[in-house]
Amino acid sequence: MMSCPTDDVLRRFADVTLSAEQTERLAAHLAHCERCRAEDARLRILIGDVKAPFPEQVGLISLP
Amino acid sequence: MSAAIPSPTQIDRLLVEERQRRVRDALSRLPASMREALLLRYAEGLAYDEMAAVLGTGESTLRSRVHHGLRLLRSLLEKTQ
Repeated sequence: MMSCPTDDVLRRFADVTLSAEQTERLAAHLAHCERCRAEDARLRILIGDVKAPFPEQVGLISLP
Repeated sequence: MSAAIPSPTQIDRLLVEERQRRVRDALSRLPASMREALLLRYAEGLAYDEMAAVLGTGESTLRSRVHHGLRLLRSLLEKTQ
């Protein structure tokens, strides 16, 4: 089993920007590592918080 | 006269609203460049190359802003728990 990944790798996993190979290896690690699974869950909740509708915040950005 | 007891659904909605209020507050306290990167990535759902085109900033810089923005956002939220 691979050793625990860095914060950056876990974030990129939650961000779905890892390569397919890295994703597969990390998913296998998470299946056996409760600490990393918990950290991954916390990250996904945080990302979900930012995804939630915040009209006044999103309105700060005007896309072309 | 007794106050009406909120239903579980009302309590859930109040908790969600409170969480959203805290997240909005924490987002407003982030440096503008981090807030912009987080909102484009997650609220607007843009890919990093699309963000780079919108902002005229390199993808690696934007990835770094998102990464540090998430860390700072978490830290701010933990302080207000």
